[in-house]
Amino acid sequence: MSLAFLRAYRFSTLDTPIHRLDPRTKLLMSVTFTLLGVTTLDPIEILALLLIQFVILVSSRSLGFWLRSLRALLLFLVLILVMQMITTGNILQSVYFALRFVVVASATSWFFFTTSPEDLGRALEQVGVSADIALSFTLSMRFIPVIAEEFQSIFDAQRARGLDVGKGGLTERMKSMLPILVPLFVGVIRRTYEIADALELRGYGALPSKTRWKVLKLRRTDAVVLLMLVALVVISMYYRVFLPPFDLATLITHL
Amino acid sequence: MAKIEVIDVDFHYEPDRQVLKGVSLEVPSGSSTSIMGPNGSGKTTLIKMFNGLLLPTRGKVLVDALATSDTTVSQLAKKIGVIFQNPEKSFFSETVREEIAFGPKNMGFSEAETDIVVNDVSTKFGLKDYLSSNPFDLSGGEKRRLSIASVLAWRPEVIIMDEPTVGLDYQYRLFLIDLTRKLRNEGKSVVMVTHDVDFAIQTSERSVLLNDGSVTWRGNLVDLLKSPAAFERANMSQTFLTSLCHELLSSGARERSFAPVDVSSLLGEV
Amino acid sequence: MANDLVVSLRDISFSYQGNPRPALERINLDIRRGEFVLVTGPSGSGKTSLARLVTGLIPHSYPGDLSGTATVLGDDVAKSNVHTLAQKVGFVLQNPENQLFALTVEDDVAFGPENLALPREEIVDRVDWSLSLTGLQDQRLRPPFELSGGFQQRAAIAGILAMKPKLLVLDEPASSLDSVAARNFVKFLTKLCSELQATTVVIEQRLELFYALANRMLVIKDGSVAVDGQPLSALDYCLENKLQVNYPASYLFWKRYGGQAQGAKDKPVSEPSAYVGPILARGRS
Repeated sequence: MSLAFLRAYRFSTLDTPIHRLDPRTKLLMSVTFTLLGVTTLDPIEILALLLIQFVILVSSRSLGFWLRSLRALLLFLVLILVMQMITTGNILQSVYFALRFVVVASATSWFFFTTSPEDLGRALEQVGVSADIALSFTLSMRFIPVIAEEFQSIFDAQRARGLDVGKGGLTERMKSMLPILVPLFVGVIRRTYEIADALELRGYGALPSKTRWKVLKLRRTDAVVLLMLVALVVISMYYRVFLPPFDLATLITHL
Repeated sequence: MAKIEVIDVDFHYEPDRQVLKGVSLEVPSGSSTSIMGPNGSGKTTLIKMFNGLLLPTRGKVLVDALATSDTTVSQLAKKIGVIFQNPEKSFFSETVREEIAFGPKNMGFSEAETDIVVNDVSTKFGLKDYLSSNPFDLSGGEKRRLSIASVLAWRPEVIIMDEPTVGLDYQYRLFLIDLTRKLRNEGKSVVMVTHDVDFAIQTSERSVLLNDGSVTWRGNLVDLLKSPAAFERANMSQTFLTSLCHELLSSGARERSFAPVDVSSLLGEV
Repeated sequence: MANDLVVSLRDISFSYQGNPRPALERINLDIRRGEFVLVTGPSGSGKTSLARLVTGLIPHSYPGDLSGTATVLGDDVAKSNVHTLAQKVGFVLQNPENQLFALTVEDDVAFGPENLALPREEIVDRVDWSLSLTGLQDQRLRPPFELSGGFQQRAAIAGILAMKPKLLVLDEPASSLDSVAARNFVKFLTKLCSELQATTVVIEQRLELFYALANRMLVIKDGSVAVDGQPLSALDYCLENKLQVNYPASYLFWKRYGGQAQGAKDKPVSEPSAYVGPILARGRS
């Protein structure tokens, strides 16, 4: 078991135009692209969205990262393709369906690559999420690697006492996880109490409202991007309502 | 008896993170060895090589002439007992008895055999009265004794402890020093991984010094006490006690009288 | 004279809820401004409970049976609360990992002042001050869990310092540090204390690191103060009464050979060579 997968979710400290955007802007972009992508099967829209993602990926220098994560998702993609083929029998439709998935994956991929966890936490806070929830979010992100390490230590310690997790049927295997899960759970609970103490010792909750020493401010670039995003949504709505559905076969016959 | 041989071992956690570099060392049967070095020098990784939790990316680790890559952790664990840091974090049973019985049961001991070893080891470690208690209700010192008892229960030939003195009081230190001597007298091999030099020189006849994944020095106690440079190379600082022993040896004290137990009496335990 | 008193405990006894055995028993203790107090004793003897009392965690977060009066910097602990006391008392827990909340060091240091609703400029100043005092300026943008043990320790302290406490309590700060890191920590703490001029209480097992630094030592045993005095006399008392503490090696040798060693008449020397002659003479090698 390696913790390498966690590194994939760490954002990279590059300085690109995308990195510099306000996290709230990026959040909105990501969500918009995902929603648009999920609600259409129109090839033009999907290709347009893919193109936009591509532009963003290149300008944030996260293309390599994205390609690597896509490789991991390849199996999943193929599965979707096959299933769609079986249910609809339409090759083209299935391809669009799979591409739609790629749009969503891309929209989340560059987001996490260009947004630091603390910026994400701050974005949530300033978007109006309560201080407690925003803190829970930050604390979870802060302690995930720690808990993962603890899992590994307990796993090692129990194996060193002869525990064998690979043997037997499903129920036997689940039972053999108890010596790992029980201490892990107990440890997490104990840690929670300590963290609660530590929070109080730093005055958390002492006053009804706290200062925010770093405040996110939207800049001109953010305004421009947001405007472009609105334009995209408007065009997309217009296209869906007023223009006839696009058919590749028809286009080919027309040419 | 178990003998561990580490032959020119490299270990990488990831291709770009090499934690052990060309490490070679031996743990003879019936010996007491300390593996010392600063935090981050690879000591814990090295321990995991001994019982097969990790396999070398290059080189071999042999236990009784069998390569760790040719067997399993559960098989190796029968001969090699490891007590990691903060062992209380691995408690999971409802009773002390179950906790101690866990190891032996995994090793294939029968019910009867398990009962015998549980009673034996709980008496030795003063836990007989707590067999039906919940491990989480024990005091700090009792928890530590429980974790040691849980490993000694299946009578491994090699006992390895990772930083056993960290965060504990004087009483427990004395207990550990005494325990190491008892285990040695029973013919077992004891390996202490520690950065506490004073503790190491009171318990180990041989030492291996690690720094940044490589072995920077190895030898017996007297040689260690005579070589201040060894400490520096391993990025460790000498203690008052080691400096004193060094001076004594330089001024003509008899080498023969520098076994670990003599260091303790030099200190004069209370 | 009354202003000088930072902590005043009168007949304090406390048992945790559901535990009949008292964690603290009839403690009478005064700590004055500027003192550096070293607190030691066997595991489970009540040292951490004492620290919790001084910060208000006992009885407010750890309910139980509390009797006697505890006054910390003018506040009655039982009548006050953790938040109020936290602004005067800085408590660095044994495990610094659980005290580092944010995703960067500087955000974590800002956490306390943010909670106190201080103005932004003040927070920026305090963060800079705290980071420079603890030598962490170069680490300020790093995530806490990436720091090594010694730096994590400092980051936790930096976060507490940013609240400008008048009393600093450190619970076993050197317990997880290796010998070199521990020595560096002692140097760091020495410098910090002289610059800060805060009253400091350090709970520790590793006496050899701190006993030369402290001007007062307490040994807690079974919930009460067994020994209270200057470190050397405290150790003398422990030795005479066979108390179990981590006697520093330099102290033990001084006790046995001090009279005959050079320059070690009044207090232990850090130079072991002073004792070589006497030891060989006594044929103890």
